Amino acid sequence: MPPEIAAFEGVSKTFVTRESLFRSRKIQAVEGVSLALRRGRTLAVVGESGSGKTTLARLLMRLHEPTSGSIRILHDGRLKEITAIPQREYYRRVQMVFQDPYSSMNPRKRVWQAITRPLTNLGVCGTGVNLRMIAEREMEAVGLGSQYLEAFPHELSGGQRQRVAIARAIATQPEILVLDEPLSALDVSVQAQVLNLLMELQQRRTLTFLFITHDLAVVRHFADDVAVICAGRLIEYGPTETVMEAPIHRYTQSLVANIPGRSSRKPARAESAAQGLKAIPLAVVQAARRAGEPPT
Amino acid sequence: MAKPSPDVPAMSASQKVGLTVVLLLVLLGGLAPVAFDLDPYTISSQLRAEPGVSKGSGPLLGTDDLGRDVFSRLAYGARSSVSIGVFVVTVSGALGIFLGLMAGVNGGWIDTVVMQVIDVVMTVPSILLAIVVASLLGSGLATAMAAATTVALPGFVRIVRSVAALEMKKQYIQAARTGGSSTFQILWDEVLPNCWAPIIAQATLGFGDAILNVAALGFLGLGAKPPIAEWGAMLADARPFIESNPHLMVLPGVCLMTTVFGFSLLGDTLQQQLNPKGGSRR
Amino acid sequence: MILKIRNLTIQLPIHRVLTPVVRDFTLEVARGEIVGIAGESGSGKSISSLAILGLLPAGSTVTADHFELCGHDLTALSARGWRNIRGRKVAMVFQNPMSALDPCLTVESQLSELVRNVEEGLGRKQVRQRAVDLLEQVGISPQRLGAYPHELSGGMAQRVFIAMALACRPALLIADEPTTGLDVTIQSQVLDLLVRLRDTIDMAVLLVSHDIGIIEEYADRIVVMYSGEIVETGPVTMLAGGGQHPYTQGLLRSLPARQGVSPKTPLAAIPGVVLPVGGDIQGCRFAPRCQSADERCRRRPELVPLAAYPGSALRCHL
Repeated sequence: MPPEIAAFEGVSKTFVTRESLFRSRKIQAVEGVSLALRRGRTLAVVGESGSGKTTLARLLMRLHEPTSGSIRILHDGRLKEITAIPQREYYRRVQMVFQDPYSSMNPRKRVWQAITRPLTNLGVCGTGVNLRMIAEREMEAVGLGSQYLEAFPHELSGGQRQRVAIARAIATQPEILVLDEPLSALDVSVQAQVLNLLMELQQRRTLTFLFITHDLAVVRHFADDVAVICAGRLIEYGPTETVMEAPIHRYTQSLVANIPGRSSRKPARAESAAQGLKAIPLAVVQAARRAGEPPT
Repeated sequence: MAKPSPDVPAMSASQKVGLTVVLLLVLLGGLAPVAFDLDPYTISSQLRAEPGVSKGSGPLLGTDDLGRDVFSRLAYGARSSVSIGVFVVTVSGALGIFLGLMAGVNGGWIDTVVMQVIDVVMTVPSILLAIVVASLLGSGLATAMAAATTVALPGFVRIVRSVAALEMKKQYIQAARTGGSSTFQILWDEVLPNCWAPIIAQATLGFGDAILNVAALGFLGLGAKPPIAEWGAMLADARPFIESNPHLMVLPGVCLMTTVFGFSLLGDTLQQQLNPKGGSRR
Repeated sequence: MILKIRNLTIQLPIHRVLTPVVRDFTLEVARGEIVGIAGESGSGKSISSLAILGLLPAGSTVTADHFELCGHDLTALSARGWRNIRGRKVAMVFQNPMSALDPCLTVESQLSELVRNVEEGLGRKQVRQRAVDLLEQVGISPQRLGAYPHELSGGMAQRVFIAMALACRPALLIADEPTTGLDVTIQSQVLDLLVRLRDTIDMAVLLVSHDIGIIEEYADRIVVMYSGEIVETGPVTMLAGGGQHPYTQGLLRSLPARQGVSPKTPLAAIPGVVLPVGGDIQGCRFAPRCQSADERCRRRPELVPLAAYPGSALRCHL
């Protein structure tokens, strides 16, 4: 088992929203979550929207601070609190690919600017010539030619934008990549391309992925370990094969059962008529007959 | 999504009219005094209140009650108006951008405090507010301009703050943060460029407003003092003569009206083009 | 037959030049069946559904050998004619239901408004009862009548949206990516509802999606579109064999859910990108990305019926 490179220990996060000048509301986004990231492996975090999985990603990216518990990362041989590490150094090692390729890039900046800006900000390199070369190298790594370097985001397709976002994230040669539903906004065939790209990058650069998704089909194919989150709590956690083949918790079982696939084809009209429509409550059928007269 | 270098849309008819008016104003204020060697201040008892077009040797539009050349005073008034407009818009714009960015980018209590103050300022009708400020600071053109600046401030703050707040939610701002950008860099590089378009629209409208407010104060006697040539003051001075020499009131009035109309046309259409999210100026 | 389209061509004004974006679109939808249109960005599927509703952008042209909905010819319809068709004969639900619901009105107000528009002379109680019936039809309890859109979950909002579409008793319901952006468990709720509507009130449904897995699971017949053309159409059972057209095969292979593919191996993705809208090409539009393209593919293939499956057609030389 590869070594632990990052860990969540009993992490909770409560958001306080201000409804008016005097009233505020507490939302418990994450409660008592403990996870570990191991070098070179992919940990998928699955759950529905609002389950808190995106908050976990943001916590690891230091965009939020945990209300309680601690997040640690490997530093000088041992796991250290991430807040103890200087921000610039941290972001050199941990980077993020966001969900929406349409809004994760500044529409006014060209591709090469988007890729190289973090390099200067984070102190990875200095002079202008190097920057261009690095941008070219990363673009090649994600399968885009250097002719796209001068393009603006709106000139690229969704899949190309996401590749640029990946190039931007790996430009600093990070160890950990946090991916927040990177495939959701893409077409199915493009998803496959980007997934292949991520697998290849992981191999070549020994990257560790924290992969946030609600798509279990992708998880089964791509993740080494999976954590299931529901309403902020960690429900099930373990190697993908174990969790998907033999889910323990009812919630996980229903998620696994709902994966759209050829094995679970809905009955055709003739078949369901033969079954006597027993799945549908009678009241609904009556209401339907009352409300929806056959159209003229 | 706006492109970084958007195709400049074709100008509508009303925009062209607005632009023409504005250009004429600038011409009047800028070149006329030089071109015609005008003198708005000399009092002459000889040519007192001769109305209408000159009959040859006299001044172009006649003279006012103190024998000053009306055309010259109008032209110098144009000059005052332009400089008033520039000053008010620049100062309130700069201050408004600063406050708006602070409020929008930081959020939290800074946002609340700034916006509550701005809301209070906005509840007071602009003229009333201008009068209050002018009477607190004493009358005179400078204080009139300060009053007009105060009145123009909320418009800018609101617009910048709403754009900033909107931008802050975008994912590329978070990407900039994880890319190591400081708050200032984010402000300057990511948020501000998206604010320029609505700011320009608001500034154009603000021009007309500022001129009108200062003129109103001048009319009420709280603004420009004699012998400064300023359209509002000219209106006030001409009031006693409204029946005998109506042109003394009509001319500055027409100038005011045309100017504000021109700026409003320009600004309104600019706003529609550059700020499709809408938002009225008040 | 509710919807009958033959050889529909749609041209859109792009940079002020009329460019064909959909070519030779042929489709038939009968009462009580779900027809799925599968295609990705740039395939023309959404534009085709907008054409059925007459919601194409200004300056577009539509030509067809046959373009008929419930007996009405849609090719040359006046604005008034469209108002009778839209919502009455055909209704549409889109993705992102939150943007379709007015955030300031309760569910009841929005449903009642539609009901009153369609049926004149109904009293308040009757309108309310109809709203309750509609909600029941989509599986939402009448308690939700007083709710505001932001109080509803994504799945519920989408079902309210469908209820609103049903308010006018349309013959055809077009669902354009109704589940994109919704979680997997919610997806099946919404799609199961469409199946239920098909079964109980003989609704004709046109299901448009980029996810061929959904179409395979829920539709009766499938139409696969690529770059503005139909490349394959027929009963959904056709897909069990992996599809006939190389594009369909590629799409099916791209699905990670496909059994038999071991984890962590690269998926058989379709290389390249979709031809940009209006891009001109000689011959088959898929040829540049096709693994098995050859000399014959320089000529544009026609839509040819397949003997093996009734009512099917394929646009391919291979």
